[in-house]
Amino acid sequence: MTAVNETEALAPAGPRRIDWPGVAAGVVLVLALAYLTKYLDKNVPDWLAGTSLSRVAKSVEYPIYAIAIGLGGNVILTVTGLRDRLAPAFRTEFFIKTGLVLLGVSINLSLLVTAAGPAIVQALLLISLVFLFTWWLGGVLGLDDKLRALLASAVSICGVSAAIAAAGAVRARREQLAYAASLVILFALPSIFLLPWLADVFGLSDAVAGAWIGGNIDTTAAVTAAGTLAGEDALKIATIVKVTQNALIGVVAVALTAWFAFKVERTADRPGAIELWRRFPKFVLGFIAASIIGTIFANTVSAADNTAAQAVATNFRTWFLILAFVSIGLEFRVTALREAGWRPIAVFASATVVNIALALALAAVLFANFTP
Amino acid sequence: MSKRTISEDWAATVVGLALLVLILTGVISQGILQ
Repeated sequence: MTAVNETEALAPAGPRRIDWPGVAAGVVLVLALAYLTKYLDKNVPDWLAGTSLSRVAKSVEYPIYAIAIGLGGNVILTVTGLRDRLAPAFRTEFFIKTGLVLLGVSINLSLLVTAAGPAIVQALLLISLVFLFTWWLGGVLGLDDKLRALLASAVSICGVSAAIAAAGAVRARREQLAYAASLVILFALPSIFLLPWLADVFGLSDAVAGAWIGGNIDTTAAVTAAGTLAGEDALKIATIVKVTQNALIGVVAVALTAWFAFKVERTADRPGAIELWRRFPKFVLGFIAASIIGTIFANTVSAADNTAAQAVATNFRTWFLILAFVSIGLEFRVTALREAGWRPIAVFASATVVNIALALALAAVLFANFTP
Repeated sequence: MSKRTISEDWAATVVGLALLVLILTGVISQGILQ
């Protein structure tokens, strides 16, 4: 089983020898920054109570502290030259997926089943339209076919994971993957704050806001951060929509593999069911299993026992999400972006605008009367 | 991409579900640094 996380996608290629002291130092750093996030989230509102910043302090939640602290740590590690040694500990993918499996226990199976229908329709329409638009615009601006496939997958499905899957499918160069991954994070960071704010300005319901956030923002971690800022109900819908898109990575990767094999490179490699399963994000199964377990548990024990257990699960979920958000900040790199020129950025920016508008329209139609 | 790299998908699924089982069975009854 092959897995590459964002750190590896963004890191320069090199020999793979595990530097255990570096990994240990990285783990200590991520845990320390997560603790600092929790400490600030808990205490800043008290420190600023009664001042003119009191309202701002109350509205700033842990994803903002975590990402800002991660970016701050990133600058220090870059200046001191330590980042590459510590980077293997920045496991954004692992942290976010564990957090999402834990979130699954709080999502009743009936909500998962009723939201899955519109989520699948939204995902299929959005992925198809945004992928084709990005592929077309990349062609108009003369981008390499492999980079077009990477950017189209990244912006239409789910960011870095999709870019990694597409890179495997079309045999893209490592620099192209690093570039696509950097673009994803560059555009996802402002979306984390912008979309919840716009959802509030537009007066969107929790369901529509969640479906918009889940359908539009590229990386799963950023969707979770934005959903958290938009509220618990919006987070649940955003997660269901994003997990649905995640589940479709395998289908797109296999379709791309077939397309490049038969039409572009004209080889006879035929991707099959095994390839589809290999590329399927397995944490989706954990998320669904957690929802089933949580629903059975809620129907078996008293309401008080269920509430107490859910509170503990939420606490652990929050810690994993903080670790993920800190890691996003720590692993962001701008070096890959400097090398590829303006055209891929123009393609990605245009596709993001189309994605935002289409996702909002689809969310407004498909989740108009949905109650989380 | 190394063939021997551990799948973070499976790792996240196993860790997440194991934690849930421990929480729901009462082995872990309190969160960390609430």
